[in-house]
Amino acid sequence: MATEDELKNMSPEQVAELQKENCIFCHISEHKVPAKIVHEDDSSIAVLDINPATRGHVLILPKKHYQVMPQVPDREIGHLFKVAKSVAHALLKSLGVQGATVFVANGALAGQKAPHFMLHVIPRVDKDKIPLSLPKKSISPKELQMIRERLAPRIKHHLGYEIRSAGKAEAVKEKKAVDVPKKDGDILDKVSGMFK
Amino acid sequence: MTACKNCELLKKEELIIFEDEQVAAILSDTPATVAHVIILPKQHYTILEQAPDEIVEKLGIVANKISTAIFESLNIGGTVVMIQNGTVAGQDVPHLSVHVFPRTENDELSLGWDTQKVSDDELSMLASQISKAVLPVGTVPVQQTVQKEVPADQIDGDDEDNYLIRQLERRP
Repeated sequence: MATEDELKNMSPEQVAELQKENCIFCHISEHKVPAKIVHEDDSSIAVLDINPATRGHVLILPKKHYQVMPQVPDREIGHLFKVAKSVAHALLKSLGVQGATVFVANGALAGQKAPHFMLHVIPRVDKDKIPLSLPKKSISPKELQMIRERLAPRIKHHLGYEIRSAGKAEAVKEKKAVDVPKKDGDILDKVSGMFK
Repeated sequence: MTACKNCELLKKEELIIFEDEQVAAILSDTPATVAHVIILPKQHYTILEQAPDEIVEKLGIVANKISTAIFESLNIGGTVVMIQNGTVAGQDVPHLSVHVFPRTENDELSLGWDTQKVSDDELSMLASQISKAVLPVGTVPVQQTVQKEVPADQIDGDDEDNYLIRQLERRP
């Protein structure tokens, strides 16, 4: 184990390497420590949580060490969600439960307990009292508009999408009605109409 | 057919913060915390198992980018990404939704769980049971699931919503 002094003098890359070396979930992915595996493929592994919320609680992990969600590339995150779909389906079939919560905690404040990104799939039954329900608070149109404006720059950066202001929305709607046929049928009608 | 709340929300321009042909991200009008976003397929799929893999993939990718955008835009401690699959998981709208919302120190949310003790033997048994039922990605039989849950003679042709609600609650 590195001493405090050694840690202080390490580069971020070296610290990351050290974290990986000591990451139990990396060890699980590499089959260096035993785990209860329910699914595995080239890029991911799904194991039972040994301290579960309920029996059948599954953790889906990328085999690569990512600490938090933003670090996970699109292709991998898409794959992990597809695995979650397969696992949720399997839980219904094999355990006779009636649903599942798919849960990701990003950051310690959100409940993230390990520095290795994971999705939880938690089997659910009626009245199981697992505290995962979401309250419904009220919010004013003004507050919603403020949030839209606040998020707009980073949404543009990450998704290449320009959030339309309320004023622009009408203009865009009009344009769409002219340029984009609603169904393939419209085009076919136009084409077949030419032969009458 | 009674209107689905999410399908109705998709029509509200002022709530949409992202959309493409298949999915959209909308601000929740009943947020758990401020800047609660719902990412959902435009097509009306009730539960996760019914959505085609390419849609599920996209929902995950968009949820990740939205989560990052929220984190970078607001002064928050973290985010939660959550799917409530089935009424027992808290799903109250029969339209697949991926929730992304911020967490802060004083948000008064109690989200989490107490852990249970399960013996190693029982874990091994569970793993065996579950792993046998896990189909490889890309082969979850979406259509079969639908037919299995709701026998033809019980589908009321006029009341599609009822059939979807039944699926949601996994009643025959």
